[in-house]
Amino acid sequence: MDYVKVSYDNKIVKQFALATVFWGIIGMTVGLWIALELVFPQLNMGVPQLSFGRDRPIHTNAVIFAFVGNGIFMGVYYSLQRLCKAPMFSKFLSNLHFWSWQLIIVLAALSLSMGITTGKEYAELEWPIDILITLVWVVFGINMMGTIIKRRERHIYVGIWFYIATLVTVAMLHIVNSLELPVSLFKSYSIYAGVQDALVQWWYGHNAVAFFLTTPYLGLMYYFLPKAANRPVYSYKLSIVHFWTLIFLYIWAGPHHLLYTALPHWAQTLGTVFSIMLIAPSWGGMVNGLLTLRGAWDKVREDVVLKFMVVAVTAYGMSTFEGTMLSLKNVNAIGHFTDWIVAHVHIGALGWNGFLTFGILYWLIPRMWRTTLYSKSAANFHFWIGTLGILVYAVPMYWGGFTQALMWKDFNAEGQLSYTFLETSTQLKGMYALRSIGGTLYLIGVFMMAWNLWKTAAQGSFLAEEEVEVPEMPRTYNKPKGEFWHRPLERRPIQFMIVALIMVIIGGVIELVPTFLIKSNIPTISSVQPYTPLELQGRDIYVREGCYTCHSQMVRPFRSEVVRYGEYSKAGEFVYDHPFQWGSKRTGPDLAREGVGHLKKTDAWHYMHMLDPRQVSSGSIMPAYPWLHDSEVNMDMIPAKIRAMQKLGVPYPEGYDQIATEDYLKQADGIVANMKADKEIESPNTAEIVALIAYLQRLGVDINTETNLQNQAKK
Amino acid sequence: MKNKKLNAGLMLTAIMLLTASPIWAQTITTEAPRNWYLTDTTFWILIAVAAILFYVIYALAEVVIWGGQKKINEMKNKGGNLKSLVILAITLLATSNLHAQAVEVATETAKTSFWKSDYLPIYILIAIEIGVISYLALMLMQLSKAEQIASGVKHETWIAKLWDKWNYKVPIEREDELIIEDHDYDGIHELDNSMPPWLQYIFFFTIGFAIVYLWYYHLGGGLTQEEEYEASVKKAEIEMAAYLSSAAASYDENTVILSTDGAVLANGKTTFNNYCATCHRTDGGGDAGPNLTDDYWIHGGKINDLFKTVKYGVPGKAMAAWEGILNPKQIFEVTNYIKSMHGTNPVNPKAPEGNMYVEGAAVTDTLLTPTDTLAKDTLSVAVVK
Repeated sequence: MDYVKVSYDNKIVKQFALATVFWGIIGMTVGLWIALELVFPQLNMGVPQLSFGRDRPIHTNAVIFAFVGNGIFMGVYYSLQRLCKAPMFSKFLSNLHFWSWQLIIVLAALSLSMGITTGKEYAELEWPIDILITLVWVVFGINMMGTIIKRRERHIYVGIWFYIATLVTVAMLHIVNSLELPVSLFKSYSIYAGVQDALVQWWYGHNAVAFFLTTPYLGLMYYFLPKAANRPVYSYKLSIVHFWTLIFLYIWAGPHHLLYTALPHWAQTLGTVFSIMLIAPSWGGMVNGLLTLRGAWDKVREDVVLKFMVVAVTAYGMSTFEGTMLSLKNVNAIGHFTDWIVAHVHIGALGWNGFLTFGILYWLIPRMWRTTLYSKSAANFHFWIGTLGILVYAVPMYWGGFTQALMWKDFNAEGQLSYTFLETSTQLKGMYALRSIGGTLYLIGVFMMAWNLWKTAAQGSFLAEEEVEVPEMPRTYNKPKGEFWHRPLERRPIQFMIVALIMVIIGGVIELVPTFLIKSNIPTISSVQPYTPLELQGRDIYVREGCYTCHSQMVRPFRSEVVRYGEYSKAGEFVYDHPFQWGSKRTGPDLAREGVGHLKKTDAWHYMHMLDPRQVSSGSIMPAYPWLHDSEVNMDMIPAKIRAMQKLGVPYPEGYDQIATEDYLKQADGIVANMKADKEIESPNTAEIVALIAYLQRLGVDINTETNLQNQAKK
Repeated sequence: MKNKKLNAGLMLTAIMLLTASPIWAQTITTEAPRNWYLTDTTFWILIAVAAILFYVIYALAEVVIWGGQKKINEMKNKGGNLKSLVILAITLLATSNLHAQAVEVATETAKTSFWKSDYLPIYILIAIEIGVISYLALMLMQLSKAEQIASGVKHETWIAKLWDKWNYKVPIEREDELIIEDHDYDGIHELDNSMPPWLQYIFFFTIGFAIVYLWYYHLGGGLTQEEEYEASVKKAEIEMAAYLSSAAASYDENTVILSTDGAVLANGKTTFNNYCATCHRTDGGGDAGPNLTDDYWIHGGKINDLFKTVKYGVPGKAMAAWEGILNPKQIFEVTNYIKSMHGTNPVNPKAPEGNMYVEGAAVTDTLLTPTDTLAKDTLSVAVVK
């Protein structure tokens, strides 16, 4: 057998490792910051860049795409070269990938803090960055598939299967969900509206969890866990079964984020049943990981790397099980919109992604710097404080979630709601405080790790190129007799990729296409009208300030919600909503009926409330938005926005863009006059707050007009 | 060295608990009297959550406790056990601190509504979660125990055996036979184990569940969310009606109060027209029975007296006892309706009879002559909530 010398590029791994730790600290610090803002709402100090609505997307994007993202690339670039016995396909592409990914992260942080957002959760980045992400993903794809093709290993390992599935699925999800119509360099509208936008968004959102936070990390687990434990993988058959069932079933589960909403019933059911069937496939990964440790549990006791990995894998199993439970209708009815969900995702993020990343880092850094870990006791302490941090974070959030759900739904015997929304949110302040303590503990651990790894690197010497001799792969392959059926596919990475893509396309197509094509899925309501130019502008401000991070616009068909907010939401109400703003969390009350019924407030009330929420409703944890009262709307954009909406199918009359500005000012003058008459408030008609008030006053009006007319007709 | 680590962990936990407890205390004590029902429920949920944590931490502790120890044999020494005890104690402390306060509140209040069906899913879920996490904990512990056995420490329990039976078809000594030839990726080998049977069963079960679920909600009797909503509103209406009638059932001549509530008066009017109008006329002007709209009452004009008269009737006179026909709520409604007719001056009324009664006056049974003109409409307004 011929041997060749190859050299594995460790430098790119080092770069991604540094970026992982760096962005991890940034992302978690922002998380702590916004956690504290829920306890001390004054913390934003009237600065838009520091307010919850803008910083929460920074937190989620930073931990998902910057911390975990760099973690994925770190692990992939290290393991792929070794599993393929080949250096990366192109060093240039590796470097291009690294630097452009960091550029994306910086642009993301800047743009989100400036309020440049599409308003779709975990996909908030605007269209130029979306394009950049697509290009960088292609660079990564070429580099990865190129390496795989040029491999010196006949078959591709299970870890690589997961990398390939990640590659194709994330590309598909990102492109389909990010289709948007640009209005300017910094503003675009989703091409989907309402129910359809919601379905696409949560098909994406749920599978961002599946194919960005789960499958690549399972791939990493399949490399680093057996390596660290020096044990064979427990079951090859289990790998095959759980890989294919996982990627096939996962893609269907998105609608479980939309149970009891205006999404068609059949789509909700599909979301639920596929989530249920997902338990065993996702547990397959946990079981294969834990059983791989058979015969190595003495090492788990000694090795901090394995400790982190064991807890990570267990946390993974717990949170996937919990996810399935939350997909059951009756559980979802209680858990959705509450802090329970926040607890649930943080078990996954802090436990599974965080701890697996830490385990890999503690394993990788001493190896690449050819030394031993600087302080074992510091690493053990990190393990402890991290575990405690997770618990101190999760318990108050679970408790808070149950409290919220019970208070929201509680009626007294006379059929009245027992608690106002404000009472339910002030009740949770203690839990929020405790949660931020948990987050602090966890973050302290990360700082300790950064210091420990730094010291480790300082005492070792970095091996930038790892030279090894590997056997050349023979040109021909003699298939052994009785070969396992899956084996041939493992020799054909391109075919493997295609089969994986087909698997993930099936579920998406079956759920998305009928929702788009069959009209009966979204019954139209004749009284629902497009937004006026002023309301449209106000809606853009609503999106910009991230109001959807705390307020839903989806009254579910429950007695408690109908009594609290008004008539439950219908699919036809949202046909002009590009993007939809249903939200996923009720830190504040639902706003779908804010402009009608008993929720209706005066224009002046909104003006005062946005200026200082606590003056108007004492004890509120809503931040103040004083900048809206001072900033003026860029009126030049109004016609362009109307034209964009027309292109998306919103039925403004032809040529309406020419008179839109006039209409805008007319409606704004009305609101200004109202506020003057009511509370002697002086405001320019082009102030942002006026547009936002117009939007809030519009919410729920359309469907209400219809019911009003019906009622009048009866009388 | 080992103790130092432990101490650090202990200290940390202690600090955490100290920082945490005032917050809990505040939250619970200030809200307690008003939110008793909530606190009561939360208390039970808390127990479940605490139990989950207990198991999670116990399992983790089992794995981690041994972390600092070099040799497997040391596992059985006192230090190890002591440490797990300490960890358990901490866990219990952490949770009992919360319990203590919750118990205080809970004992003060009625222990109802635990099984209120709306919240049943939570309890079931928590029960399942406890089961699952216990299983995970067991898994971790058994893995450790299996290790002991493999390293010569004889400590095989029936659980260990069951565990092996459930997960491993081949004992670890014969693992070499399972290594798949030709599967070597950067030194990682793969074994030819089959899927653990329990995992397969779970998979089949969930597929079956999914099929039943689909059938139930789309072909069987499962309600859509809109139908569920309608049902819940209907149920609430029935419950409210039941509550109102049972609340009214507690009305008697001693507790009855004035009400101007529209629904009460409307119901009272129906009852009045059905049963009373025959003798007192629809407008209350009086016919066989006395005028009910003027200031004079034969058997007292106070609401309590009215209630009594309607309920028991007047022996020896035409006024019947209505308690067998009208329920207390109806009597409550009809007496209030009668009070609301005061001063309506119907045409051609029956002449005043009995004593003058002024609503809200200190002495209500003062004898006054029918010619007294001081009577004023001072009907006080008390709204029944």
